[in-house]
Amino acid sequence: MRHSIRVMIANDSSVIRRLVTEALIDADGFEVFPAVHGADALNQLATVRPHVLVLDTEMPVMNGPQTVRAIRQDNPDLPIIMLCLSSHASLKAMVEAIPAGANDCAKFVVRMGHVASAKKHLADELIPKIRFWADQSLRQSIQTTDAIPVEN
Amino acid sequence: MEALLSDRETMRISPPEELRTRLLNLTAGWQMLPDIAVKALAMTRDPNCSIKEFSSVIERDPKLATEILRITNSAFYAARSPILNLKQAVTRLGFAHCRNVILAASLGSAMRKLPLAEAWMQLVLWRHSVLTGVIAMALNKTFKLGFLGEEFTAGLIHDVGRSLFGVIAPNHFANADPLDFEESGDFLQRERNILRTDHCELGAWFIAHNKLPEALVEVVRMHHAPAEAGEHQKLVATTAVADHMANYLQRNGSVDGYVPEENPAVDVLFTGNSQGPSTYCQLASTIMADAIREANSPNGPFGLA
Repeated sequence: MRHSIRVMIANDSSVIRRLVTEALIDADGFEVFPAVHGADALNQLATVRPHVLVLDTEMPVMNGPQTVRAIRQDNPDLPIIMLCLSSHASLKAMVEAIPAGANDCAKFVVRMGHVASAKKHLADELIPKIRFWADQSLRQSIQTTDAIPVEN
Repeated sequence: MEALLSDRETMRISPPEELRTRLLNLTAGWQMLPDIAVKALAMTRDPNCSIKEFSSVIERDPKLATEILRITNSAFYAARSPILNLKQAVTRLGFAHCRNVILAASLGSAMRKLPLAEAWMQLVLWRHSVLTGVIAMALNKTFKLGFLGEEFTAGLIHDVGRSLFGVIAPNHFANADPLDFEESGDFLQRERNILRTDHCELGAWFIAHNKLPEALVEVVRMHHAPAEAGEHQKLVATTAVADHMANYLQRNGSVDGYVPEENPAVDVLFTGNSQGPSTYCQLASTIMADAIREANSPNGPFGLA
């Protein structure tokens, strides 16, 4: 039986949080945990124990790059994907969040079309990256906790 | 019947009674703006109003006050040092800009807590409205059009009819308006075929019903036919020019490939100004690039949803 991938989505826009949640739930195989900003994500990390964190760059209280730096102090291995909602956000992720320790960047710009096409666009962009990093995380945790040699 | 629709005046189709009734029933008990926002907006037009009086009214709505401080401190409004209280915010911005901030904060909060499909639609339209308003502000500044903030308000509100369609006819809205920001051809006729009126007429009727200024009613009704506008034609044409530019940015994501000569409202905006259109063609790309950057800036107006 395949376990669900636990994804935490930290974004201050309720519309974007709900859109990501529905896109992942529709795709099957995901559990989604929302956080309204970076500090909220930090508070929930120990209890939720996500496989992947999807983080907005611009948020009140604690923004994306600040959150990445805070997480990396205690948690060097949690995969973090920056969700960039504008070209400015992409630039900020490249300049600040990736050097601070974020693993990847997914771009999703609110521009046009109805919710179905937005969900598809978001799923196409985000889900392969979440699966990839969740898989990497799982392999790493097996190697470090069980110390079982991986056969090629 | 179709032959009759070739003339804009004949094409004007008032919202059917059934749609008006449905809209009034759905919106019974709520206004387009909260009471405090309505009062504050009125005060910004009073030449005798003091900053102290104005701030004391805003303070009665903590949510609105918080939004105003947040927006005022954003890079979008170019705060060089932190603004810590409402009096500072009002002093820094002036009443005209305060009016814009109040409208942005109030309309932005109105779209929250809707079903996702509806909230998404409102978010897309909200971004288009903000972008149109920001571009209109830039046009006003660049070409010294003489507006005092009403051009931003007009940009924000020009497509209110599309939002209302989504509320009163959600099952038909996607067919009537694919949100593709492709406004050539017969898109208004498509709305009329499905909804028996268009977003210009529905929006104009609704904001007139809510007693908003006549200039805004004219913008909402005529922004796709600026040459036929009346007393407020310059404001209508400014909104139409900005709308064309914002549509392009939403379709393409960048200014690359924009052909300013194809903007049909430019000649109306610069009636009597022979240099205006050529200057516009030279500066349009810069105005659009600046506008999308400002609208996307940290805590800028795109971040309200």
